Amino acid sequence: MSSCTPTVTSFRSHPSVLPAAPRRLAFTLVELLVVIAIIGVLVGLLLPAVQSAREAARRMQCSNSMRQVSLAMHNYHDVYKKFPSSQTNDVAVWSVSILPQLEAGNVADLYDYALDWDEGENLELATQMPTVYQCASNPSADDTLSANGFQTTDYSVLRNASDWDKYESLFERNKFRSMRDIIDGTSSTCMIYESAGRSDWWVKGRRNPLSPSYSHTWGTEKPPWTSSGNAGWMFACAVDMSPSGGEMSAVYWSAGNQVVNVSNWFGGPYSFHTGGVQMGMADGSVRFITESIAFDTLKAMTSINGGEVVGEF
Amino acid sequence: MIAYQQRTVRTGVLVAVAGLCVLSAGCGGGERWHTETSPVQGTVRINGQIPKGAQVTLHPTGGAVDVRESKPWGIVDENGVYVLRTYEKGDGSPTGEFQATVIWRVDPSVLGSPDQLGGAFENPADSEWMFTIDEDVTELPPIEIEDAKITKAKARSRNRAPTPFDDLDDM
Repeated sequence: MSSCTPTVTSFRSHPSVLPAAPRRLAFTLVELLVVIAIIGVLVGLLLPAVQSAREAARRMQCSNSMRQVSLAMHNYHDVYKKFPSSQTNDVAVWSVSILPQLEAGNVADLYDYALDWDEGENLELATQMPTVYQCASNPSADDTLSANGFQTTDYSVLRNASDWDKYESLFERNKFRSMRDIIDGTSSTCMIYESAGRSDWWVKGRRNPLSPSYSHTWGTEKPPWTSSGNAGWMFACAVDMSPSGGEMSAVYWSAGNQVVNVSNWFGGPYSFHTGGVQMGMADGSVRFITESIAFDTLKAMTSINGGEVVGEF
Repeated sequence: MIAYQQRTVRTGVLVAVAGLCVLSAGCGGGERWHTETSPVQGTVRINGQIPKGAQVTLHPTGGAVDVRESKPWGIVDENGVYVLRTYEKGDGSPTGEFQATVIWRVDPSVLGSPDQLGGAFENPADSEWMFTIDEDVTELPPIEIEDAKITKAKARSRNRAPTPFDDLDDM
């Protein structure tokens, strides 16, 4: 500070060398670096926020799609006084039955109910799936199954309750339920839920992880969007991934405490949203189910006649 | 002039430090709903043999251990030892009082694999194994089952209720 004052005085004593008003005309290097650093910090703070805002928007779009599908189910119920079955033999699955209610009547006209889903002209529906069946967060939304070229839905209905030996679910094979069968209450009963990315097999965020015991055709041949694989159920499953990634070191079925976002295998609840999956209840509302939900609460939501009291979730 | 630059440098350093503080404040965290666990293990013998692949599950008797109502569990290895896990492999169990159940699937890595014990030890209400886990416990008392009926073959009774596993192949 002490050396500063004489310097300023010397400027004033020689006005012809440097005018008094603009003391400096340029920024110093240090000032520029400080500004760049501040901008860097601000961008660093902002970028993750932008990314999560984009994901929030995709999630909202997904929840809107689920709402449309729920509404189509209700409209189907208005017409036939019953919900569709999860599958009727190998002919009609729910995702084909409600096509007219999704304003996809032209696609529905292509479908021949006299044939199985994989016969004759029904194969033409392979890539005719309405976009409303897909979640905006699915990174492989346009992919088709490698074995048969069919698109896959990101939404599934239940083919049985988690306590399948005791209770029933809203959709089952060859069972057509009506609204009055939901004695547990429509707002606490699951109608559709996310089982996303099923053109591949996903386990804990990894696509098609290698496994020594993996011999099933899930994610290669199943589930085409017009087939009965569009119905699944909720089960606990524990998977250990190897530290290097890319393969699983152990799988334990019906074990552990995690149900949500473990795998989309067999229609398990799985999504690309952070922290949980979305579920459309039978009353038409769409709820977000977190990964930390108790399995007993989920079980209560899968049944239509369990008589459970579903608390907060 | 030199002093002026020094002051700017000092200000610059201060701003940079403040920026780093702001950045680091946004990090950290993890799964907040998890309860603290500590490693616990135990042994199982069924009819004096080592039941490799059997699953031991601890059901809390004094209220849920977390919002997910997690139940610590473990799979018996070839030495007859199970290592409890709650969130990750080998992370152990929270403290508390538990009732243990045992299921011995033919192959736990196969979907719908049946219990070789016929579900005889799967109900926590009938459990005869009560364990108290506190901070000092790392080894649980052994679980020994005598005279258990072991059915290796898959029960394919015609009157059996259909299971979700029956028609997986025509899905």
